[in-house]
Amino acid sequence: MSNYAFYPGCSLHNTARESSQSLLLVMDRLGIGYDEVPDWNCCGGTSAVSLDEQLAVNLAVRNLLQAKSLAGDGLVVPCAHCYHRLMSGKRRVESDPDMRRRVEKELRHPVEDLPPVYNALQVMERAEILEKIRLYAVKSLSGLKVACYYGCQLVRPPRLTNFDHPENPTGLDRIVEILGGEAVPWPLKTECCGGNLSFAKRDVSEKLAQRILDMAIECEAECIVTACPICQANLDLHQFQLFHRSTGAEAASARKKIPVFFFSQLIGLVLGFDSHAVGLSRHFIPAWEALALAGIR
Amino acid sequence: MSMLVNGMDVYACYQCGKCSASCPVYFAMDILPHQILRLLQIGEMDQVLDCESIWLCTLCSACSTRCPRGVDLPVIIEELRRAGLRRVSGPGRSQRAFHNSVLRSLERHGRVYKAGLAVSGHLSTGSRQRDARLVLALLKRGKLRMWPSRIRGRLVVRGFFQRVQAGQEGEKDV
Repeated sequence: MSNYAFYPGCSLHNTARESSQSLLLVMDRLGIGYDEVPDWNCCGGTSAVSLDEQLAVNLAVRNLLQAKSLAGDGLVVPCAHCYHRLMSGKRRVESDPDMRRRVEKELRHPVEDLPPVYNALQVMERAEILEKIRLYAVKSLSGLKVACYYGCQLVRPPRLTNFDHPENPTGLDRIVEILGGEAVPWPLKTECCGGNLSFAKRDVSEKLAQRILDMAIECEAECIVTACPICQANLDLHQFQLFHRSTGAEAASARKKIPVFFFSQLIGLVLGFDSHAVGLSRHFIPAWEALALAGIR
Repeated sequence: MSMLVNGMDVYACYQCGKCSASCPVYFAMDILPHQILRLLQIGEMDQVLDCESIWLCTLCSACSTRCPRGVDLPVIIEELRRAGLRRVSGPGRSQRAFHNSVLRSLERHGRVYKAGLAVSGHLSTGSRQRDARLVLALLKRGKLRMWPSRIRGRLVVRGFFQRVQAGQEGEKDV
């Protein structure tokens, strides 16, 4: 049995609870072992690197050191932003001896043999895991049309992230097909959702989210699936906000809404977990219609 | 001739504009991505540090992935941000306020206390009523923790911040 260290990050403790909830169920079922990184700290996101470069590297490396004793097969990070930051910190200390010395001084700990870092999607998209999902499946998405949305931080920049392609990745598509769904071709797979601009610049962030939602609907997708907690929050929450802000007449002619799943939720449903167990009740845009289409309730 | 910003040579750019064509937030920018590089080439650093664009960039790396000259603009923008994160006024102030709140929370707890961010006015929905409704909706779905989650190693994390602050004060004295 494989054994990974698991780094949830702040988003999976808050807005993306259903991501870790469903992922851990699926990992258990598939016999992928994990232990949560003890006393992990925030990765610093785009904020720490905007203040001080070494701060960002320190934050990443402290987590990697905390994970070291547990990570027989590596460190699994479900959040795209955390993954990006941990990878970036790891590369930096491994390629820059001067930076490594400074980090060692501040952490008062030697920095060597850091564990390999994987995004949860990179673990689940492996051929042997896909085969296992196919064997363990008790339901099917029955041709449900899915727009696979990767977002930006997960797959870019390619020098950091080790995905198959920075603009046309296929991991989610392959998972959806194994689950019996249909991955629709669409052009905004890796377009940015606006990230944390949804906090500070809502008007800008809403335009980005709306464009992605409109395109998915135009390409006849019945739901969106993503691997990133920020993407899921922005797309799901934006639709909810839009609905509550519109006046009576606008609400009547309401735009079509589209549910946004984490890929681990879809895997969980097909493996036989019920919708509550994979956290669908936490979503803003209800998923019942899409699930009924897939014949899953 | 070369001029390095965070290890990137800004003269490598030949102004084809592919970065601006790829940028998802170009419509909100006061100076477009290829213009940032041009201004750096001709030494107009002040104008670049004073624009909102460097705070609108989401670091999505669409530009750098497509750049035919291998210029990594997000890496340059990170460096430009570091020159002005603590400034209170000027273009990009709401984005800087957000980053500073995140960092305060991280410095205090070792993790980001999202409920704290949500009630400290960073939701920018434009009305207190809408902010409150959103926070309630998040709480109802178990998507916000009421209390901050504190790590045991928070003093270590605080130490990182103290070094940054000492460094910045040292710079002022010079």
